[in-house]
Amino acid sequence: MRILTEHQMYQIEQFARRTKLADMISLFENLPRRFTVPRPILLGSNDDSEMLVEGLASRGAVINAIRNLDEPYNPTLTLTTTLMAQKRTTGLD
Amino acid sequence: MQPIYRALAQGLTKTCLANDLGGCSGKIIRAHSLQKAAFSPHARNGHVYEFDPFQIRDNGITPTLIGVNKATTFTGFCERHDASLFAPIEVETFKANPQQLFLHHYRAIAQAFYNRAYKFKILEQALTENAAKVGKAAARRFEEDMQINRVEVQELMRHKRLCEQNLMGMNWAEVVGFCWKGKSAPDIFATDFFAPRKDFLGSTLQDCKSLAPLQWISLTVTASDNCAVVLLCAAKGSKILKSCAESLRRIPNNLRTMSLVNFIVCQLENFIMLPKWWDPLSEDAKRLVVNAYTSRYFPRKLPRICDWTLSAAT
Repeated sequence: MRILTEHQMYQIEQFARRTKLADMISLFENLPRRFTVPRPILLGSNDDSEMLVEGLASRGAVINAIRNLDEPYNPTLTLTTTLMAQKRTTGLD
Repeated sequence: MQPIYRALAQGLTKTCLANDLGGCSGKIIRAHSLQKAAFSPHARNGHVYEFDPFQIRDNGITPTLIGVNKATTFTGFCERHDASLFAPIEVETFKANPQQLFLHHYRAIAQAFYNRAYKFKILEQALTENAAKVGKAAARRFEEDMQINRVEVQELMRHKRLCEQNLMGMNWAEVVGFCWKGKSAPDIFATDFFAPRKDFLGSTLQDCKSLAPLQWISLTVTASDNCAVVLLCAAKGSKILKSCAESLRRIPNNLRTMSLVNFIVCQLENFIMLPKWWDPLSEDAKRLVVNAYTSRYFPRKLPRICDWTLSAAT
């Protein structure tokens, strides 16, 4: 499983704070379908909560979350929502 | 077999959305949401490219070839209504007159309504049947999507009814539009009725996350005399329409086509691409277009891959 580097996480948080959502999406598009985020990183704000991602994450779910983020980023929120995937124990069929 | 494929194999709902106008012939046909005669001469062996959300391969969604008889079609009109209602935009030369703008707008509304009221039912059924298997987070997202879809169906129903009242009264001026014409044929043909979150410059127009009623516009890209025609239409008095049109006007001539293509690929659902344009694109350019379509975020960075030399006609 690919683990995000400290440089990538720094870049993502910089994009988040500057509301550079297209750049953030481009960065995630170049990652594998599943990857691991070693520490909580900021994606942006969505209505009343900050959006973070941590642990096992899916590229599609992260991009899906990014496209709904507020523009511009609202840094004054106190609530947080963390995006975290869980491995399925059983198949769909 | 998964319910979604079972339902697709059985075919989508056949209905005449113009039923309230009276005089249905009863025979539901595959109605084109875009004038077939405009894009079929540019097809390759009778095929064009589309993004089919139901065809996801291992490497994600990629454009697939579709025959011109099926491309951009929906089973939402009877034979008689399809032929009689849309004759002024199917048969007659495009002059950007009020009736033609109205009919392009109405057809975009009908298609958008059909997608949400009927096509989405298949997805809803599949998601409901699989809800227990996909996990709580995914099930919650699906439920949110279904709720948004239900709200949109109600909104679109209102737009459709209003349009049909004006259609019966031939009140063409109740729909207003802006038109741009190109000097070459478009590489992408599109039509959709949607509530834009941003204008062509990427400035926010309205809060689309709200469940409050939104302002909707139609965007159509077609061809007349083998030259691109771009139409932006909405109900009379729409502020969003004015802002959108103004933003497209402000974009320099040499960048306007790509801004439009960026907007279409990132936000619209109903568009086709010509093989003679798509096939020669570099793999990098194709990947960027596919990523832009998949991310559904506007604007994305796209290379300058077409220019139809668009200029304002109205």
